[in-house]
Amino acid sequence: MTAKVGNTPGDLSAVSPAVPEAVRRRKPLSERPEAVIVGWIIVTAVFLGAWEWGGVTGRLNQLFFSRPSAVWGELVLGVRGTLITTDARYTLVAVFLGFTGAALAGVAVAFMLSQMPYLRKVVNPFFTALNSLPRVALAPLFVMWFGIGLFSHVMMAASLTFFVVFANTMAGIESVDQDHLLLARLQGATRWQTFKWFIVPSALPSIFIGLELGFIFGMLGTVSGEMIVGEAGFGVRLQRDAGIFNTSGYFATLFVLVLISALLAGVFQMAKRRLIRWQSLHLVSRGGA
Amino acid sequence: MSGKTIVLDRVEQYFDSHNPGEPQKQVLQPTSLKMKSEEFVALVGPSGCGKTTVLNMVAGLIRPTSGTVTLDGQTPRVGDSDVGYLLARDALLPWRTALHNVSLPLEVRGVPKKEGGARARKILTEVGLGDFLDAYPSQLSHGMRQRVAVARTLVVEPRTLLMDEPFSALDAQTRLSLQQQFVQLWERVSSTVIFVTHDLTEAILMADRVLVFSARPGRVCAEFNIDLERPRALAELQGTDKFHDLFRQIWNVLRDEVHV
Repeated sequence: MTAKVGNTPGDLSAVSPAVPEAVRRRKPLSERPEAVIVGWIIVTAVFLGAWEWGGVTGRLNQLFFSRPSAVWGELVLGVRGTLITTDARYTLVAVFLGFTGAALAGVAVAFMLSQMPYLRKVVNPFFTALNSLPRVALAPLFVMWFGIGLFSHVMMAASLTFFVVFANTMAGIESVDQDHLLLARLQGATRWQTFKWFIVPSALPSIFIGLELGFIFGMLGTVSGEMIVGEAGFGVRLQRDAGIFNTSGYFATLFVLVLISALLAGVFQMAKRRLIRWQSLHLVSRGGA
Repeated sequence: MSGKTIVLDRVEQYFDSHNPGEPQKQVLQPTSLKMKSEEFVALVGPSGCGKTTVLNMVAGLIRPTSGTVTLDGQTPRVGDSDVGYLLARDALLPWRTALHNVSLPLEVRGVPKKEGGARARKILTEVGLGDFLDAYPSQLSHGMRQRVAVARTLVVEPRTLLMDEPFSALDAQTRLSLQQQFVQLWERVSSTVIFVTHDLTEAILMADRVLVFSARPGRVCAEFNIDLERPRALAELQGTDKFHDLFRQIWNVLRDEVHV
């Protein structure tokens, strides 16, 4: 997440007014990838430097704020210990299982209900009510129902992912161009043809947004579930470190959490770009009409 | 394959009023029309006069309140593979290339992929888009997109062609070149055409017959045969005396209806 801070030229110049002349003369900074990377490095360096300096000089209370070098130490310790092999694995398995099941179900139920307008209208208010429920409130209930093991945390992820994916898929289906549907009718397309050639491709970008959000929400569900009670996982770790005022350890876990989320977001972006290439194209020729 | 004979027998259309409680509104007064096989008929008239209603009846999209419509003696059916409908909006699928937009109606009809692709490629080349087969709609200009839409409509070689102001959204030059290209293609595919337009020049240049509709509720208030020779060179035709005579005659009728 910190990587995004330096993304605009405004941020960059605020941090470093002395941009080299040679850089300024050509394209605007926002269009120069290497300049953006330089910006990221500067933001990171300034942030970490100030934090470390605050810690070393005692301006920041170490009990609450720790400092980068101490976090790094805890990180190394964690990596050598159970942070990756046990906790990260535990959380990711729970999120992955919950997310996959709920995402498939969300897409399937949305497509199914879009074909059954009556049932949809009946179900709609109940879905809205369930979705507006703060899901963390379900965590203790899930513990009662499913125990403190993995399954309880899988269900936490699923309960959040399902509705996000469902709602976005539904929105995608509803945003289908009426002219396209008219065209399908005029061309004599069957219901199945209309579905696979007109409706699904049109809903795809929206489904992807749903999946991306669904993953983030799934992570949220699992980690917050683990924080209430669990055998292992990021949430358990965070709760334990906070309890013993191990702020450095806490930040080390957060760091890994951010890293994994960012990595997976990148994977989503790549998959999206491949699957819906037509969305990112621009006019190549205005002439010759 | 020849164009279909289209017969409208005393068709009349009422639509529900937008304001609840009000009585239904008459859009089209009882109207009888007959279009010969391979005839090119243009419908002109003020907005809301029922021109598009006639088109939608022939397409089978709406049923007349009373009276009957027949294509070669049969009641029209939506999705009839023998009917092509071209809208003012191109309605291209943004996720399909030009080629795959044009081959779509063939896929729907179950034409083998290879054959469909070949036919789509051929007609796109004919409308001058041979170099843009793999371009997505977002990469094409307005005029090019409408050309793809024309190709998509003609690729199935429909025996009836319904066109609802297909060139109205284009600039003057693009419009003229598309009109010319369309007329050339049509002179070859031989289908019956009903062409709805606001543009009298376009109607005269392209059609065999121009029907002038009255203001709402619509009826045909005048009919003109356009005895210009085919094949037509549209750009040159616009300068001829014959064109100007026809334009003046029809405009004299149309003017009273559109209240200029």
